[in-house]
Amino acid sequence: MNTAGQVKSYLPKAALYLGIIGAVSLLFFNLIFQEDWTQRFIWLWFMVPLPVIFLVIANKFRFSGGLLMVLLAIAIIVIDVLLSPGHPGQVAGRGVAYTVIFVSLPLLLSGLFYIIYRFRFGKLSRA
Amino acid sequence: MKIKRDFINIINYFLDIVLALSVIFTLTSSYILWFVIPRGVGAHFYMCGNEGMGLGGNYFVSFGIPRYMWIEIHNWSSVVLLGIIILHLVMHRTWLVEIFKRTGSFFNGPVKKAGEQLIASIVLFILFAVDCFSGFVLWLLLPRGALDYFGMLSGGGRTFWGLQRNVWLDIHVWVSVFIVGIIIIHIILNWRWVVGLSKRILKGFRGLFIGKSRKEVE
Repeated sequence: MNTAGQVKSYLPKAALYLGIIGAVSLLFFNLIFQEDWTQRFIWLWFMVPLPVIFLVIANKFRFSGGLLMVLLAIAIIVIDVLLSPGHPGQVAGRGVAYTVIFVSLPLLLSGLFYIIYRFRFGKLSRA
Repeated sequence: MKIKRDFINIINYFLDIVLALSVIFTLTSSYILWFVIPRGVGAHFYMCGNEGMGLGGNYFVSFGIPRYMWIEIHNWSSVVLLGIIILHLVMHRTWLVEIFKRTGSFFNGPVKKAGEQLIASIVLFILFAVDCFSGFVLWLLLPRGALDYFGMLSGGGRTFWGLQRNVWLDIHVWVSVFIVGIIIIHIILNWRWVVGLSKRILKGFRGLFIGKSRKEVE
């Protein structure tokens, strides 16, 4: 049995760290879009603080925060497919595959870890 | 014994400051090269010469320094960073040996911070090795040339291990983004050590050495 103060699982910590990595990646994803240099994608800046906000939500409400992270990961892929500045090779780091692997995947795993933790350890368990 | 440990701690602390400075240099130069003055700014063929350093794009200036100089700053600050990281590993060799001996105990039962530190350090090391390797490929094996641009578009550019230069560049930049994220986690995990030692050093070397040795004598 775990004593008070000990943490049952690595899942919430892993989710938090993956969320931090995803947040940093999302910042650079946004900067790549700004390389379009036409100010078309300036609205993307609103997405930058979202992972941090979702991580704070997930700290209190595991399922809701996790779900928001998963939705954000999917939204990023959709945005990349629909709004592609330039073509791969013209801007360093551009490409749907890179977006999926380096931006969406950490956020998706982070969200899934929170959701799995919620269902495995229940509503009241805390990390 | 304690004085020796304090001394090693101080050396580690200042080595970490130099490490942080070289990371900042490397990241700043890469940010400028990636987002402020990207090569050629779209006019790749007309503004660049043949192999190696082109004409146009490489002469765009940021903070009074032309792009080709930023590339040199990035390359050499990365080499310095590599050297300091090797030194950092050598200084922490005892910790590394100990932590690998006890690896099994970290993942049985409740979460232990040492386990998190071990994973973060290993991931950071692997990513840094990948970034260094891709950096050396870009710098020494596949240096940029204007004619590469059209070769790249048609899929007929120079390759190393089957990957074109632009793919190596994409890998290089995204792995470095991951490294930034893991450095933040690495600092969070070692935050108590950083703050504790900073406070002690701010109190002054005299208090640190003489005060401690007096206490030990008493």
